[in-house]
Order: sequence, then C-alpha cells, then structure tokens
Amino acid sequence: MKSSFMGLFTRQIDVQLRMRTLNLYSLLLWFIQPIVFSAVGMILSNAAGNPAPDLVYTVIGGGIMGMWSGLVFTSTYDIRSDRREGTLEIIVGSPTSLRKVEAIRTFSNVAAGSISLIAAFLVAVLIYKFPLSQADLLSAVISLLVILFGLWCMGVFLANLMVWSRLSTSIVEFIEMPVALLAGFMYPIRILPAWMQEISSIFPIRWGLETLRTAIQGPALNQETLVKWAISIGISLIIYLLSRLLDHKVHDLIRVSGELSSI
Amino acid sequence: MEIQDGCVISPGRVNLLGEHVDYNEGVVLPAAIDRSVKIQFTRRKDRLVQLSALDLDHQCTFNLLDLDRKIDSNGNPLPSWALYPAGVLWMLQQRGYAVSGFNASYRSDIPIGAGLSSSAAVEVGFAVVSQVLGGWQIDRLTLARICQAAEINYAGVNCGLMDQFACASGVPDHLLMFDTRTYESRAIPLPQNTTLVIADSTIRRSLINSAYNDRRKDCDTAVKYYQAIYPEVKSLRDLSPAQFQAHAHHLPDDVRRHALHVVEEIARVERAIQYLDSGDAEQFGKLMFETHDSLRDLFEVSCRELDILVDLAHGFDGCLGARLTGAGFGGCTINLVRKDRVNEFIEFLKTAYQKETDLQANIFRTHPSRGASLKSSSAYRSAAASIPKVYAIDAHELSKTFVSRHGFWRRTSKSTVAVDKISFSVEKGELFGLLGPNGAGKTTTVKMLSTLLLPTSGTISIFGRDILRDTNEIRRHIGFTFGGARGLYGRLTAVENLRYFAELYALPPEVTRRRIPELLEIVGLEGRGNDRVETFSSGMQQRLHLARALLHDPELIFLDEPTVGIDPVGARELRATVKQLIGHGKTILLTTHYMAEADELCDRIAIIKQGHIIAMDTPASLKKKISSDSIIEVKVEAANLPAVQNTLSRLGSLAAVSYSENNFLKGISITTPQPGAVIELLSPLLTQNVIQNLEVRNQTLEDVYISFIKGDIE
Repeated sequence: MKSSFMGLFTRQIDVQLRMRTLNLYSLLLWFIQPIVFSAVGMILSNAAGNPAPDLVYTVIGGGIMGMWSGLVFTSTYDIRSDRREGTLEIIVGSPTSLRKVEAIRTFSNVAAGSISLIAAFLVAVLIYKFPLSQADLLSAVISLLVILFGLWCMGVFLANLMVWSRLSTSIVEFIEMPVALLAGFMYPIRILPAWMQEISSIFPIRWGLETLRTAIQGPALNQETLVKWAISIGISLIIYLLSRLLDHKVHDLIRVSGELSSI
Repeated sequence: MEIQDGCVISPGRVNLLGEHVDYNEGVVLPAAIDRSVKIQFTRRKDRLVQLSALDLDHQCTFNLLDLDRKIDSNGNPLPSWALYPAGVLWMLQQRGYAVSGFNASYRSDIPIGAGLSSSAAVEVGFAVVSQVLGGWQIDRLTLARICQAAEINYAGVNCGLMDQFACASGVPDHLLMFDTRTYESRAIPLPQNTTLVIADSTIRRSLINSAYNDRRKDCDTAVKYYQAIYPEVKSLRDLSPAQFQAHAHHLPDDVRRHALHVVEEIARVERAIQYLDSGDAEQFGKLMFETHDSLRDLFEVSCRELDILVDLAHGFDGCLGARLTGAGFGGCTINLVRKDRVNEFIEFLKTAYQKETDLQANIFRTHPSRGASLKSSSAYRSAAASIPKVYAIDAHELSKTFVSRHGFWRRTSKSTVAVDKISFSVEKGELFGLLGPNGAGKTTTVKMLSTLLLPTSGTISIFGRDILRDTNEIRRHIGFTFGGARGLYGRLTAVENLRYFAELYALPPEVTRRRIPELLEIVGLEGRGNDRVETFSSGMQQRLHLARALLHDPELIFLDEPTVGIDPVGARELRATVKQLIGHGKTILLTTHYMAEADELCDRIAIIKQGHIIAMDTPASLKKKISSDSIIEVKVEAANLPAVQNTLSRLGSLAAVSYSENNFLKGISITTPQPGAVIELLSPLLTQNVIQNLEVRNQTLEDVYISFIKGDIE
C-alpha cells in the first residue's frame, strides 16, 4: 500500500471543500468579511478625501485580512473539529502522516482564502472605481504567490500547534488581530514605532504585502522587490522547517497525553 | 508433529435448488453458510471422548471401544444429540482411520431443526477434529460420505450426501454444483448484486419422525416401476419428464406426484446451472419459485407458514426467488434478493409474516462460506519450534500513567495509573475479549495496542513488530473502531467517508471501488451508501465504523464496545458480522460490557480491574472457577419474606443465600450444589403462593464477572 500523493491530495481537497469551505461560516469569513473591511476602509478613505494610493492599503488589506482570518480559523477549526468528531484519532492511527494531511488541508484553506482578495478587489474596482491600469500584473501575481506560500507555512505551523494541545485554540485565536496589526495589513508599516516594525519583519506576509501594493500601483520588478520576496520566502521556509522539527515531538506528545479524542 | 488441541469451524448449509434429488442421484446447488458449529478440542491420552454440547448444556463421555454398543462410559445409552459425533467416530474406525480420544466442547449458531444442516455441520466438524488429531489425509468427498454413512447407519436418519458435502467443501461466495451420481462438483459464483436471505419460519420439524423416509420409499417404488419399462433406469435421474409422464398413470397417486417433483426438479437444476453460468439471476430466481410450488403441490413437504413466507417474498420487488429449503415440513425459506433491497426485504418479511401468522420469523442474510476447517492449533506453534512464536498481539508489562497539570503560577501535577503492568498474548485467528468496569483501563489498553497512545512502560509487539519502532507498518495491518457515534464525517455520505479513509490507507482506486460496496453489504448498509451519515442511526453508524476499519483488509481488528448504544437486532447483526470476520481468519480484540456477547463470541477473555488483569481464560474455564453450583432465584412479597427465611434456615450449609430488593418484591438468590433438595423444600411455599416466582439457572459469565470484580474469587 504505497501512498499515492495525488489521490490523497484530491480526496483531502474534496472533503475539505465539502466539509468546511462550502458552508455559511466559511463563506462569511472569506467573502463577506473582506467586502465589509474593504468597503468600510474605502468609505472612510473617500470621506477623508484621500488620493488613490491610500486605497491600496484598504483594498489589499481587506483582502489579506479575510485570507488571514480564514486561515487562522479554518486551520484551528479543522483540527478542533476532527478532535470533536473523533476523526483525529482515525487520521493519526492511519499510515498516512498527519503532517501530510495538515499540509494539504492548509493548502486548500489558503487557496480558498484567495476568494477574499478577489472579493475585495471586485468591490474596489466595480463599486469604487479603483484604477488597475498602472498595475504591474506579473509582479503582483508573484507577490500574491509569495504571500500564499507564507500563509501556507504559517497555517501548517498553527495546525501543528492545534494538534499538540486543546489549549492552543485560545493562543491561535489570540494571535489573529495582533498579527494583522503588526504585519501592516491595512496601513503602511512605517507609521508603526520602530520596535514594532522590527517585530513585524518576522512575518513573511508583511514583505509580500509590500511588494503587492507596489505592483498594484505601477512597475515593481526591481532589486528591492526581489530582496523582499527572498526575505518573505526565507522566513516562510524557516517557519516551515520549525514546524517539521517540532513535528515528531508534537505527534509523540499527543500520543503521551492521550488528548487526541478529548474535547 | 502431533496436534494436541485446536478449534474447528464447521458451517451449516443452505440448498438453493435441487431439493429432494440428492437421494435420487440428481444435481444439487447448495452453499455452506456463515452460521457454523465451533468445536474446541484437546487430545486425550486414553480412548475416551468427552463431549460438551454448550448450547444444550449437556455432557457425555464414551469410550471409542464401546461405540458399537452406543453406550456412554457409565453404560447408559448415548443421548440422541451424541449419536451424530459418535457415529462419525464409529464410521471412521470402521473404515480404518486412526481415531484418538479427546475432550471437545462445541456450540452452534445454526438454528436447529430449521433445514440448515446443523447435524451435518456437527458430523463434518467432528470428522475434521478426528482427521486433525489422527494426522491422516482424506479428501472432502470421502469425508462427507463417511459422515453420511454415519448418519444413516448410526443415527438412523436416511439422509442424502448433499448436506455433508456442502458443509465439508464450501467455497466463499460460491454455490456448489454437486452431482450426487458421479460426485463431480464445481463452484459457481453467486449471481452478482444478489444476496441470500434465510427466513426461519420458527416452525420446527423432526426429520426422523417426519414423512421424509416415506418420500424416499415412494421414489424407490417409482424407480422399480419404471425399471420394468426402461431397464436402463437406475434412479429417477434417468427419466426425462416426458418419459415419466408417458407411463405415470399406473402409479399410485402419491407416488406419482412425489416422483414427478423429483424428475422435474432434476431438469430444473440443469436449466438453473445454465442461468447461473450466464449470470442470469432473474431466471434462476424464477426457478426457485417453481421449485417451491412443486414442493408444495407435488412433493407435499411445505406447510402454511413456509407458503406464506414464499408468497410474501414473491410479492416483493427485489426478491428474485424464494422457496423452502431443507427437508420441509417447517424450517426455513431461502431467498435470492437484490443487494440494494436486502434491508427493506428483511423488514418487510418480518412485519408481514408476523401480521399473517402471529409468529416472529428469524430472518438474516447469509454469505456462501468456506467448508469445515481447523481454525487454530497450538501444534502450529510447536511445528515451527525453531521460529520464535509470533502472536497477533504480545503485550508485556504494559503500563500507562496519565499526568495532568494544573495551575499557572504554581504548577501541580496529578498522576493517574490507567493500566498497570499487564501482560497477555493473542494468537492469530483468535477472538480475545477484554472485560471490565468503566475506568478499568480497557480503552487505554486498546489505544496503546492500536498505536494511538504511547505506553509509559512495557512492550507491545503486533505480528512480531515493535509498536514503537514499526508504528507505520503496524498501522497498515490493523483496524480499529471505538464505540459511539464519533469518528465519521456526518455531512459526508457513507461512501464519501469510506473513500476518504481509503485514501488515508493509500488503497488503489480500483480496490476502493471494489471494497466499498462489498463492505457496505457485509455491514448491512447496502442501499444507504449515498445517504449522509448524520441521518444514520447509532447502529448504522457503528456498522459504518466497522466497514471503515475493514477498508484495508486488516489482519487484526480492535473493536472497542462495538455494540454500545445499539438496539438488540442491530447488535445481533453486528455480532454475526464479527463471527464472519473470524471465519475469514481475522484476529479480533473486543471490549464489551455485555457478558452474553463476550460469552457468545470470545475464545478467551481477560477481566481487567483498576488497570490489572485479574482473570484470563476461556469463558468455559472461567465459569468453572466459581463452582458448578446452580442458582435458584426466588421472588417473594415482603410480607412473606420471614416465612421463606424460616424455611431456608433449614438448608444450613447446603446453600448460600443472598437477598435483594426488586420493586415491590424481595429477591432471594440461593446458590447450591443440590438444587433438587432446595426446590423440594420450597415447593410447598410455591403451591401456597408464598413464593411469587422461582427460577433455576446455571452460573453465567456475568456471575463470574461480578464475582471477580467484587473480589469474591481470585
């Protein structure tokens, strides 16, 4: 019985979509929430008479906020729900590693989270006539992929944390807003105090966001962008490796504590 | 290498077509079924055979040298139930096979007297026991013929060869085409997408006292008559229906009708084989209905209840064929049903039959199964003396301590010992039960054995592999279910759930596609595969759990309280599935709170209390540990209690008496080696209505369990 990765991948995505994505709660997270964020930001920005560049933060921020919230909630919800439904034990007791299952699920969640960004852009372009004519689409797409990779690595790490202990739920819920604030989802990082900017630099999303914003406003394919992409990918990889390093330890710990099926 | 002990499983059989043709040299179409006789045996050094029929609660010991005289070791005539095994041993000796002495206890889940060959299963089972102990080789046809000869010559039943042949030679998922003239046979697959359902009318027949022997005589009479016309005729097999009809008017009416059935039935079977070979289930089913009509109108071996069952089945869309099976005059019908309608069919037939007759039919699906075989034997271990013994489970000094920590600033921890240095082994093919009160450590043990928990200390090896080192490899060979409704995705359908878990076990897509319908059928959920699991009852979810655990065809299955929360019918069906699994060579570790379930299913049982194993043995041996005393349960009104107590005080040391309160009545439990003396003492009180109720019973596994848990025995 050699594992077929594609079979596992497609089945996981299928179940993930049926079980978690296609329900009202997830749609609210991924679709409605970014629209609300973006709309409120645009209204406030327009009311303040701000020029277009400020809208970039509102549009992209609203979308990324939706992606991030969706990721945090789904990654934690998945494991919590498996724990509650008693399926976590069955997954752990199967020959397929939980890490692989978590990785595919997080990918599904991150990919589904792109809905948030698309929704936010649609609101900005269709309703508030946000201009995209100057955008560097290639750099924007690469930046988006860099962001998605960063989100995926963080999602895998968070899912691992959730498996470890039931109490991780509170920790994960606690970090949602601080990360959003520190990574500068909806405003320029430069307005933060210097020490907070230092902290924000450890979040890979921050670097991808900066290049995405630049690419939306005009040509962005330069050395600075390349460095920021490299930093983002590098930090993402570190988070992923950290997750892998903790992996065996975490999975052994849950088999010691016997909390796999505890609610 | 001499085998010293073991367990033989010998199935019952059902005949699909070719009824009452086996003693007319016709072709029959039986199948061994998944109901069986289970015989546990141990070699003896002397020439005695000690039999214990657990279902009847009867014992009998006889000497192999006295078999001609049909007497037991005390010189009394052998009881009728012992004639079947004793006859086989007698016939084997007559034919020159070495037969050794042994002790055997056996039980059966084949309904007795229902036409499912419970007697043949016993005969074939004991023939295999003798073969195993004697170490000689014999082909299955010869073995069946010896059993047939034993039944005719020793038990006095004029039977054909079909029953013994089917019990001895069954092939899983196949019918057996057996030519009773040439003894040629071949296995024919059961038509695709069909399932066999047996409906026991609960009307019982007595084969020896019935008109069976008369029917045989009628057939012989007809043969003699036709031999005068067609000298080449040796049996009714040699007559075509046209030849028969051409001269039938001179036969006595009874003989004519009875023989006509046989001649037509032989021709029907020929057509049936063609339909089976071409996979035409519908045409085959029609022949089953025709056979029933013939058995009712011509051969006259049906009865009202069987006719009702067949008529009801005939009116059900999805039942392809139905007829009485076996000798007739009561017993069962066999039904060929489309897989996707089986559950509805069973429900329909039960309800409608009860409405028509006020009787509750015992209706169950069945699968063509393997013929009688040795299930396990300690000799396999000694035969491979140079190879270290490999158990399915080998746990040594296994412990698990849970540590919980509290407080934020001042951390305190509390340790709970859930399992404390337990050791036990489970052999391949064994059904091992783990019993104990809540919190005793059963589930923790199962979770350690199934790789979900790491032991604090001790070792576990599964099929010789270390659970810490070879975790992933072990997971490929085990399946597990935990009681209750958790463990499935409610918003997915049963099929979607199974597909998902199949991916976790990396099953190839073609295997998944084949396994899912098979498993849904095994657990009785065919037709519900596309329904969301959240719409399932607890019993259905539990059965789906079992299907999930079996997806990757594991060799070892852990069933943690599989029948908890399931209604009695569902629990019985699940137990039947568990028996099937054992019949297919699986090893099962079962935890349960239901003692009757453990008694019925388990080869061995361990009782666990506060993390320690306090007893471990076969159910029969455990029962012996609390003496063979009988228990007399008495119910009296409170006002009458002093009078009864006064009477009981005369028993002295003859009985142990305990009292309990049960609603308005007082309960008195009297444990005594001499129930007759106690009943004699109490009978005046019974006739004077001082005692409301009196019941005598043997010690049960529940009594054993309670005694161990309460610490009454060690």
